[in-house]
Amino acid sequence: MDLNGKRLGIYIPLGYPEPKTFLEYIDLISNLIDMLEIGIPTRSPIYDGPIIRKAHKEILGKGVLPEHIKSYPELSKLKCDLVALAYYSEIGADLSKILRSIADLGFKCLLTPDLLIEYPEKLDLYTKASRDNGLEPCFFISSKTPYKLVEKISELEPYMIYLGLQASTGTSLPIQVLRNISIARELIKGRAPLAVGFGINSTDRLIAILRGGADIAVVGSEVVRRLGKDPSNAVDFVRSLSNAIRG
Amino acid sequence: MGEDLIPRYWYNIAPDLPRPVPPPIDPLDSESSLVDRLKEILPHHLIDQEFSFERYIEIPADVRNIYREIGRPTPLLRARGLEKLLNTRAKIYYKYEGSLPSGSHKLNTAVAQVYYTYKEGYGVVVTETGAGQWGLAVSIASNMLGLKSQIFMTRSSYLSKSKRVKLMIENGAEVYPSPSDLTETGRGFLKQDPNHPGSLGIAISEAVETVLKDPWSKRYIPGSVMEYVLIHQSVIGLEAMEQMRREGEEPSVIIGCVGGGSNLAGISYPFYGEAVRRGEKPPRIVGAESSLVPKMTKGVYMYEHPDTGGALPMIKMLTLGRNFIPPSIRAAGLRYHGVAPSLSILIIEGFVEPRAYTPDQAREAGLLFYRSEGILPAPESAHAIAAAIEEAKKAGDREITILVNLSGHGLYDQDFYGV
Ligand SMILES: Cc1ncc(COP(=O)(O)O)c(C=O)c1O
Repeated sequence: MDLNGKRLGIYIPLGYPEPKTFLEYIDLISNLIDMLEIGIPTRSPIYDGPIIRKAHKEILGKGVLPEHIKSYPELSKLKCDLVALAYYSEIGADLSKILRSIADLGFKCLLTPDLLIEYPEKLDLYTKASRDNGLEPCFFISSKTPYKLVEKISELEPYMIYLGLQASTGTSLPIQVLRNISIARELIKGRAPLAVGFGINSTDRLIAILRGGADIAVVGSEVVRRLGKDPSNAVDFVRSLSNAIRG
Repeated sequence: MGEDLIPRYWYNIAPDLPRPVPPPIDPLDSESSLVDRLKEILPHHLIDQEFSFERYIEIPADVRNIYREIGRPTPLLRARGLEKLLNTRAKIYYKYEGSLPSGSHKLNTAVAQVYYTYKEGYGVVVTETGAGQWGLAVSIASNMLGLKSQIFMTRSSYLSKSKRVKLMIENGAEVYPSPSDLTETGRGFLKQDPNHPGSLGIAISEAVETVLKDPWSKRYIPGSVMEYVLIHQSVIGLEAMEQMRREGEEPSVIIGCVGGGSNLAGISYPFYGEAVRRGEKPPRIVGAESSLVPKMTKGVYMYEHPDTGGALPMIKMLTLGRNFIPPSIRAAGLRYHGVAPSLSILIIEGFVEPRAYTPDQAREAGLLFYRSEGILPAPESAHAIAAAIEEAKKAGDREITILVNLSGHGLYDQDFYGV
C-alpha cells in the first residue's frame, strides 16, 4: 500500500528535556513531521507509562507550568500542525483559558485523553469551547469506547480521532492492534482522520500501523526517551521514521 | 443434544456500554509499569481479549468441543415448585450452571483460560480460590488439558471446605492455604496473625508473586473481575437467550449473585446488549451481594488494585478497598472487595440494581429452593435465589418473568445450611 498522505506525529512534553534544548530540537524535528503534540505539564499523567511520567516530573521540577505555554511564541513559527495534550481532570476548570492560549499560538486542537472516559457529559461543552476559540475538537478513544460514542464524535468533524493502541503509553502488551485499528476505521467511516499512538517504537511498527489503516501515527515514549539521553539521536530517529513514510 | 445452542462467539459488552471502561493504570508513585508487566503474568491471548475492540470474540473450536463435553448447553429450567410454594404468578426460570462437572459456572472460563495457557506452551497455571469452586474448576480444566495447577485458597475456606480441597488434589492440584509461607506477601500477613483467615485479595497477590518467580513456565489465571472472564461467561446468557426464545419467554428481570461479577455478567450482558442495540429498554438486572461484603451498596467507585498486595495494575471499580478483610462467611465466593469494571459502570448508571442479603436470608432462600426444586444452591447462588423470591413477592398479581442464574450447587456446603 502507498503511504502517500499518511502522517507522522511526535509527542513531546512542553519544555522537555529543558526549555532551551526543547526549542532547539522541536525546531529540527518539526521539519521532519506533520504533527507535533505538545504535552502540557501534568502531575497526574494517569494514562502514561514510566518514560513520559518521568519526563513530566522533570519539567515540573524545572519550574515549567501549564500556563507557560504562552511564553513559547516560537511554537507559532513551526511548519507542522500543533496539537496540545492535557488531562481534562487538570485543565477542565480553566478550559477556555487554555484553549485561547493555544489558539493564539496557532494550535489546531486540544486533545484530552480522559474526556470521554471520565467526563463523557462534558463532550458538548468541550466541543463548543474549542470552536468558540477557533479550534477544532479532537477526541481520544480506546478499544473500550462504545461504538455509539465513536459514531457520535465522528459526526462532529473533528481534527482527528486518536485511538490509544495500548492501555498506557510506552507499553507493549500483546494486543492485536491492527484488528482494533480496522474496527475503529469501520466505525469512523472516513468522517475523520484516524490517528493512533501508544507503543509505536520502531519504523517497522510505524509502517505496519499505517499500512493497517491509520492516517496518522504518533510516536511518544521512544522519542522522549532518546531526547532525555541524547537529543541529536532523537532527531536522527525521527528522521528515520519520516524517511520510512516518505520513502 | 442441543449442541446448536452452544454459541460460536463470546459476547464483549464494552462496545454497548453507556460509557467506556477506563483503562488499567499504574499508581502514580510506581517506578516501573505494572500494566506492562501483565505480559509476564497472564496468557497473551487473554490480554488481547481484555483489550479487544470486537463485540463478538470467536470461541476456538477446541474450547467449543470442551463446552460440549462438559455438558453445555446447561439446562434452563422453570422452578414450578418454588412458584407454587410462593403462590406467585411470577414465572421463575433458572439457568443451572451447577450441572457442570465442577458444580459451578467457573468451569466456563477455566477451560478457556487453561486452553490458552496450554496453547502458549506454559506448563503450570496458578490461581486463587475462595470457596474452592474456582479452584476445583481450574483443577478439572488443568487435568483435562494436561497442565499442573497451583491454588492459593483462603485459609478460612481451606479449613471449612476440605471436601473441595481433596477433590482438587485428586485432580493433581497443589493447594495451599493463604496466606501461606510460600510468598513474601503471605509471610507478611502470617507475621501479623498466624491464624489469618485470608482473603481473595491476598490469595491473588500470592498467586501473581508465584508466577513472577517463574514466568517461563507459569501463568496466572483469575476466576473473576477481569473483563475477559466476563466475556467467557457470556456463554451462559447467550444460551439462555435462545432457550428463553424457544420457550416463547422474555425475562423482565435477570438475577445473579455478585462475587467479582462474572456469573451475573454472564447471564445478563447478552440480553442487555441485544436490547440497547435495538434501541429498546434492557430488562432489569439485579445483583445480589452478601450484606457482610457490601461492595455494590457501600463501595466507592475508584481506582484500586484488584489484589491486596498491589501486584496488579489498578482498575476502576466499585470497591471496599483492597485492604478490606471480609469476615469468614460461608459464601466465600462473595468475599471479594470489588466489582468488575463493566459491572461497576452498569450499577452506577442505574442498569444494575444492587441488593444485599444477610447470611440468614440467603440460607432461608436456599433451603426453600432445595425443598421445592430438589437442588441445594451454592451459598453464593442462594443470595441470587433470595433476590428472585423477593422479586416474585414484590410482583404481587403482576405476571413477570424472572431469570436467575443458579451459578452452582451447594452439595459440599451443607455446613452453610446446617442440614
Ligand atoms: C457458585 C458461585 N457463584 C458465584 C460466585 C461469585 O463470583 P462471580 O461474581 O464472579 O460469579 C462464586 C465464586 O467463587 C461461586 O463459586
